[in-house]
Amino acid sequence: MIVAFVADIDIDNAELIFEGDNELEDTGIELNELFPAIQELDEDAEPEIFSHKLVEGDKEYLKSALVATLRPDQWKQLVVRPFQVQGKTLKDLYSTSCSSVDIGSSLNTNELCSKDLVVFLVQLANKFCLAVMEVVSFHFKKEKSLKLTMGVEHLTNSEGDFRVNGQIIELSLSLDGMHGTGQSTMYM
Amino acid sequence: MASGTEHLTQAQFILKVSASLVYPVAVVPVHSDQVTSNVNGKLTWRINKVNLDDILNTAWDLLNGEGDDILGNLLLLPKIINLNVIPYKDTSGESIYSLRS
Repeated sequence: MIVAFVADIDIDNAELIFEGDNELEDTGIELNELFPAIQELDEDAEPEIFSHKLVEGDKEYLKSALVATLRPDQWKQLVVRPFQVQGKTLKDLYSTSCSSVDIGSSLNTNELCSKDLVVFLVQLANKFCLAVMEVVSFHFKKEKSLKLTMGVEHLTNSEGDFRVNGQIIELSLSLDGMHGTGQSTMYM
Repeated sequence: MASGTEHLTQAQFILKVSASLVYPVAVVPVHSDQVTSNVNGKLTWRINKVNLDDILNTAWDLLNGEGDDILGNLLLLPKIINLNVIPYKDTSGESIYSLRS
């Protein structure tokens, strides 16, 4: 197949003329189908990578709102680290609907890390209750320093050599009660 | 929880638990527009209630262990003095995720 490009040298109205066989031999595919459509660029638009905001539809979100925090009033925002490990971007998180996310997706199956959540029974007066705790650090009995990660295999360690340090968080039950897949959910 | 000074530190809120007693739990991100409770943040996350129910049952079953182990196991559990910390409440204010001893 022979193709030829002829450039019309006009400074004010540069134009690229394409001449030749516009159909691939033997395939029947139009050449222009192989090239993506060119979108017009807005010269005044700020590159999104330099913006502090994400735009999703007609709403704007501050990227800083995604930073995990541990506040004295026990309010906690999203822990993004497990999702970053999975290669998800901030925009993915904002555009994710509840029903499309695997409930186990935020857990690393090999190790626990700082800011992960753990659940355990506690004794409260004459009752035993379930507590949800955000992990702050891990302590290995034979070591003086605190660690930020711990292999999940140590959870089954019965010798008591491993300790999890953290802060109990407050949860509230969603008022709708039923959500997404028809299961009640607990929200921060 | 000691509060000898005006400024509380993170260490005063820290609970230390044996690793053998904890169960990891997964969270799912959710935008607050999808939440009808009084969440005041733009983006938060949720825990599936079924997950917590399952963990509660599993933790209690394992605590019972075999025979007389339960008495020794109960002593291992952290004791919470501040009654306001937990238990969690449902929408009507009733305690959830708690078991009477």
